Amino acid sequence: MVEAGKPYSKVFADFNGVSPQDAEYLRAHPFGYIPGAPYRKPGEERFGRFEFDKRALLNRCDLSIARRKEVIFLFTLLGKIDHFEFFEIEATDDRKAIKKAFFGISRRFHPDTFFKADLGVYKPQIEKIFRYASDVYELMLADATFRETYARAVTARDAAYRASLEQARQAKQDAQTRQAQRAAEDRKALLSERLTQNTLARRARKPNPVKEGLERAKRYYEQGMQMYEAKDFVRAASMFQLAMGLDEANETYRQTYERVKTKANQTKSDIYWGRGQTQESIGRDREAAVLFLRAVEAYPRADYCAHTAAILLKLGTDTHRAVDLASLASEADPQNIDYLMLLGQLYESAELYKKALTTFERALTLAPNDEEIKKAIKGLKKK
Amino acid sequence: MERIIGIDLGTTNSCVAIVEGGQPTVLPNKGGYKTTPSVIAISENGKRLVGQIAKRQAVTNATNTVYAAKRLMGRRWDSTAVQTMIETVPYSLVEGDNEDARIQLRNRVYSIPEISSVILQEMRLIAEEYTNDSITKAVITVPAYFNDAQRQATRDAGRIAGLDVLRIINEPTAAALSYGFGKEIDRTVAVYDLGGGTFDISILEISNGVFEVLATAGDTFLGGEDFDGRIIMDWLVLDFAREHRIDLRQDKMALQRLRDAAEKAKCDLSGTQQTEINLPFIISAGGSEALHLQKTLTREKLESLTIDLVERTIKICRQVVEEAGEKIDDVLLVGGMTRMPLVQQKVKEFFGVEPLRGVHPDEVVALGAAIQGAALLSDHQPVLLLDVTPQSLGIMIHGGLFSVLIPQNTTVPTSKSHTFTTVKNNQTSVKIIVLQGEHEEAKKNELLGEFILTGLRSAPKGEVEIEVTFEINADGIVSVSARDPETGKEQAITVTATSGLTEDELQRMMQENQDYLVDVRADEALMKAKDDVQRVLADIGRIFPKVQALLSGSDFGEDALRKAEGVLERGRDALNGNDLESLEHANEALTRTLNMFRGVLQKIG
Repeated sequence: MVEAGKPYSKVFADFNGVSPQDAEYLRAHPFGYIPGAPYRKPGEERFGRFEFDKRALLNRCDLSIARRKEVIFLFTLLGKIDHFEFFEIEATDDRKAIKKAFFGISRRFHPDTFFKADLGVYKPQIEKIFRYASDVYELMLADATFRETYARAVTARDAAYRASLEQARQAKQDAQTRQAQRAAEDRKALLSERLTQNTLARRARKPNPVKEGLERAKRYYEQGMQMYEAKDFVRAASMFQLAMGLDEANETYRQTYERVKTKANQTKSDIYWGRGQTQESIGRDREAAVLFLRAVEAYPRADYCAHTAAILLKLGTDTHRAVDLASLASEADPQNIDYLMLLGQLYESAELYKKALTTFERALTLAPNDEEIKKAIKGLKKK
Repeated sequence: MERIIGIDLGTTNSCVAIVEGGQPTVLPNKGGYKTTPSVIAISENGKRLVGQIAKRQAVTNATNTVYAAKRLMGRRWDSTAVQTMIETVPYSLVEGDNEDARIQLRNRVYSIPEISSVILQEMRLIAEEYTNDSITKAVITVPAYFNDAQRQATRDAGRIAGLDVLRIINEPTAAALSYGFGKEIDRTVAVYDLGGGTFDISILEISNGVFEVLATAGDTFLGGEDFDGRIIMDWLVLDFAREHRIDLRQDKMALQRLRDAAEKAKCDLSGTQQTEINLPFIISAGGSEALHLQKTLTREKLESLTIDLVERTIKICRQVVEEAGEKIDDVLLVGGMTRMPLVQQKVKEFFGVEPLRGVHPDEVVALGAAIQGAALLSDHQPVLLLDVTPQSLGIMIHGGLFSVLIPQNTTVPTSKSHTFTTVKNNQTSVKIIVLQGEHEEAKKNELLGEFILTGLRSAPKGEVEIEVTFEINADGIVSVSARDPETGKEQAITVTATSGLTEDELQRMMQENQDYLVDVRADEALMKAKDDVQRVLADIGRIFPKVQALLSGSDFGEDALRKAEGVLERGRDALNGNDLESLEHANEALTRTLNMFRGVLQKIG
């Protein structure tokens, strides 16, 4: 019936959505063919997605390019689009509309329209189009059963087509929603994953703080030992203290520290003491007292304590501290009469006479012949 | 601009029109009439006479005067139409080489297209005279119900007349074109066309310049001639026979007189209630006694004689209206016979609408043809015709039945393919009999031709397929082509019989007509020269006695008179001969003499 033209892709099966009875009737009819979908999608231009062969458009003839396009378009799709689409009318249109459409086609394709024109290669195509149009037109007008069945079938096809479009649109939308959801979930998962990773990385970066600390402690310890051997007790002690802080469980560090600590304190004490003596020697007793106090704080050597107490006594400040220091010195060396005497004098200056008397008397017991003690007691008793 | 004429080649009258400045106009003939009788005759001296002149001499030259040749167009010799005509026409019909009917006039046999071509030629000359230009293109109308053979014959007639027939269109369609041309209408129109020889009814839908023929039907042997026939045969001849026991039909001249009288009476009765038919000396009753025919025909009588003919047209109307299936808005009356009050009344009764009278029934068809011609040649078609094929086209199949391939009222151009298979083993040819008509039995339809497909490949029966395509073009003319669908090879088709003319015959006739045209044109120049010489001679003759009286007596005068007489003598001699040159010389000399004589009269007289 129709020469094969440029095929166009078929997505929907022929007679898509048409009732089985109608499809059977139409399949048996020479003009009953209904493609599965309209050629032009809703909103598409007259020629839809049709691609024109540029060379085919340039054949020599008297027709305008627009006319050539129409000829090529209709000829190629002859028998491949439904009759309503061919006539550019709706399936619901009446006989009058079919007539009008056919008259329009006739105006464009009847051979008389081209009586003088040179149609070139388009001549047989135009003839075929007109003949096809008039065959279909006459059938549509004359055979009510055919027309009604065909219209019903195309309407059903269109409904099915629209439904499938809607379904496809819905599916696409659903897919988009799902994709968005999935993307959100993925993002969330990614974030938590990254979090874990970071944590792990952090953990990886500090794989064993204990071990590291121990190592550091060991390093500090070793450094401390070197300093110790160099008799730099103060710095050695701080090294050992660091090592001990990092490895609290390590007894060696603690014991070493403890051992060195005294030595370090003594050294420190000696340093302050030396600086204090320098100040004292130039008569700056007050500054000397501060340094002496630091020295005894670092290590309370009896003689240092006594000397500090004495200087405090001399300055007449911080008597309580002086008393404590003098007591400390005396406790460290109870046989030392000087210390007792100093203590007594301090009690006396603090107006703790009873305590002063006791102290002097103890000194007297140690040296009963000491005039000085007797004189002190005598003087105290006067008070 | 290329000019194209529209010709209504009628049974009794023909008409020619042209589109000028967008307006179709009917062209009058030399006598000033817009229609020309479709009558041709061969005079005693072998001259062709056409139209009014031919009609006028018909009575005295009945056997060599052809009228109603259209009724024979494309007819086979054995058809009833031809056989009926043999009995009723005064000219003699003979069987042609192609089983067609031909006409013998004096010692020559003419084919029907040749006869028609003479009328077409006359139409062409009318147009050429009017436009003062040569005309080569024409649209010719035919009755809608004409079959392929009849259309083909009409086309042939055009070709013989030297016309390029751009299109054959149907008369009712042409009438509708003329009616709807230039009007913005949207109507369904019935065209009732009752002409001299044929009846056509077409239903058209006119919408914005598109003229779609919905259905058409008719009778190619029903027209004014048949009405005349009823008056002649059923009344005049019958009554005369009863009265005088003489059959007037035996006398060709009497028959021709009856024919003229009947036609005239019929026309008169469209306007009056009764008319006289007066034919003195109609026939001799043996010896020297002559019989006269004198009768009064009333409209009532005419209607009773012809009512069945009118009823026949209405019956066809009913069938076609059913076929069209549309409400009829307007009815258009075409053809001279529609002037008859009975026809108008019956048409009005049937369609239920007052028939339109705005158009001239004798001229609309030619006007429509001219409109279609102009439309074909214009760049923007103001009108487009969607015509239909009037008769079903088909082939004879097994059992002598008729199988329709293209049903009647199918829009043309159209084509249908049919696949034939061989019925015998190793069959190498297939004969296809193509027919046109509506009858189930093949033989009751008109035979268009027999086609033999040859050169089929040898194969068991049923294996070879031949695809035959039947095509009807916009003229309604059928062509057949065949091809082997397997190889795509075109098959040879041999035409073994048609009722028309072969191409050779056609070429010969065209050539003969050309020769005749040259003859006639030379003749015309000679006649004109003779007329001129005669006129001058007559003028001179009128004043000669006076001039003679004035001049005689003087020497000079006598000499002049002698010389003048010599000129007159030479003029008369030239007039007797057929030499154009000597006639022209004589004319010159005579004119000088005439002027001289006039001068003498003025000065002396």
